[in-house]
Amino acid sequence: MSELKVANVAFAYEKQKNIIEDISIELHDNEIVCLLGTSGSGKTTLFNVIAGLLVPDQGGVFLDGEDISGKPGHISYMLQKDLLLPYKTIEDNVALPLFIKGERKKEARIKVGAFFEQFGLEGTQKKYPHQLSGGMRQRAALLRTYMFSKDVALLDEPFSALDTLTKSEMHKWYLDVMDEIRLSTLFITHDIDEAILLSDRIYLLAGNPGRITEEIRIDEPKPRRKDFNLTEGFLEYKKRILEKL
Amino acid sequence: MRRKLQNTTNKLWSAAAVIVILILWQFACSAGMISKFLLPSPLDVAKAFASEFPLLMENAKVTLAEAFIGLLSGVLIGFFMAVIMDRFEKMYQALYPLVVLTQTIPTVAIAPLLVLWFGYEMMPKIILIVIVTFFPVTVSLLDGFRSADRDTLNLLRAMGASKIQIFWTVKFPGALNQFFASLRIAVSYAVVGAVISEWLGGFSGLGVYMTRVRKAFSFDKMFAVIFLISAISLLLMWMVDLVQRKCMPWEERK
Repeated sequence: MSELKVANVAFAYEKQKNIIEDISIELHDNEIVCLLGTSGSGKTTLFNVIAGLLVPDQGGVFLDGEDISGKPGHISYMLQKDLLLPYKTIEDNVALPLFIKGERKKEARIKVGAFFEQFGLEGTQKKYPHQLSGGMRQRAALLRTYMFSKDVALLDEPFSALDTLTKSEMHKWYLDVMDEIRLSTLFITHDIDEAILLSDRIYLLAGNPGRITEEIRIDEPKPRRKDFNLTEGFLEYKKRILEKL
Repeated sequence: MRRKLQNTTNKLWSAAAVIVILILWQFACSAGMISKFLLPSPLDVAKAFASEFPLLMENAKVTLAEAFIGLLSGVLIGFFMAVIMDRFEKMYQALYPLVVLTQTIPTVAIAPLLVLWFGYEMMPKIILIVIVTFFPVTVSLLDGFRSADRDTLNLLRAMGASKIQIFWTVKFPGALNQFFASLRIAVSYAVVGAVISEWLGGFSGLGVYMTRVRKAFSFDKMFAVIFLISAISLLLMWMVDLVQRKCMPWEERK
């Protein structure tokens, strides 16, 4: 059971104008929430604040009620770049968060090994990242994020570097895996279709400084039907979002 | 497979070039175009090498010992300096100019001073080798540490990694390629450094031997020792390659 709460956060780089202002978002247990924003709306800044890499000038970030503002080590994330270390095998890359927590190599490897099949990575344990396709590397990166914390994860445009076909394949895989592992996720993207397809709720981030302008609930039961993105309901959501952005 | 074949043919070409040069050289000497006194023929050099072999090996042992101890200390000091300068920005600003300055000192000029201060034994030689070898190691490692990917560093920080953990999981392995490149340079510097410092004072070693045969105008022996020094440097560089491949198995599978 985990809950992430961002309360009235504002941030500015070195006393300049605010990049983000008055941001309040909530992420409940087992939810996928999208943060949809135009470029320059401060998505990545907010992301770094939540990860604890930047200290907010106002407000705070709370995980299960504990103030974690400016404290890294609580929430892991995944980026568009997979950031797998080229000199470590996939298994060791995935086990990295466990190594950092001080677990023994052997035990950590056994622990992560149990998830390889579920994440569609079977047989890649001893391979190096450059031997895997982009989609597979992103799967490994997601597993690494999951190994860090089984409660909350931040994903910053994780699939935007992939080609369209791989991307839609990854969306389907992602929803399936999420359904099984029940990881609460804050998903940052600029792709409207992706946001509607994957999330339970969407926050729109816009303006300069960036603010949350709208919260939209996607009332489509999960698991979602395969042609959800072709239905009338889907287009309604898209229309609504386009009007607001 | 094809790449391997290509590699072999490339090597064949360079081997052929060396053989052609040797043949031309031998021919020039045998035909009397160059007097034997000035330039010994390759065959003379080979003969000298064979007859002097025990003496050469005895001296090579000393030179290699100096080169090895000097290189090891140089690499350790270089590593230490790079770590300190990477970790503390102030140290970087204070020490980096000094490090560069040490390389502007002409080696041949300070070698006699070192002999005066530290005697004719191994010490001055080792110090000279340290001075010439730590520099490439420091500079390349520092460059490797500093060019570590920012996003990767941030990710590790977000996972709660300590500075030491970040160093050993990201910075150090990321700098290995540069480190081995610099080690290859340092190895050849070490051998040459040892020989030069032996010229300027010592009891044994290839440099001392070289001075002796030069004074006796035995140019065949002179060439024999030059070839030996080249061979030693090449062999050591090849060993660095070998260690690199062992230490970086992920590069192999590319």
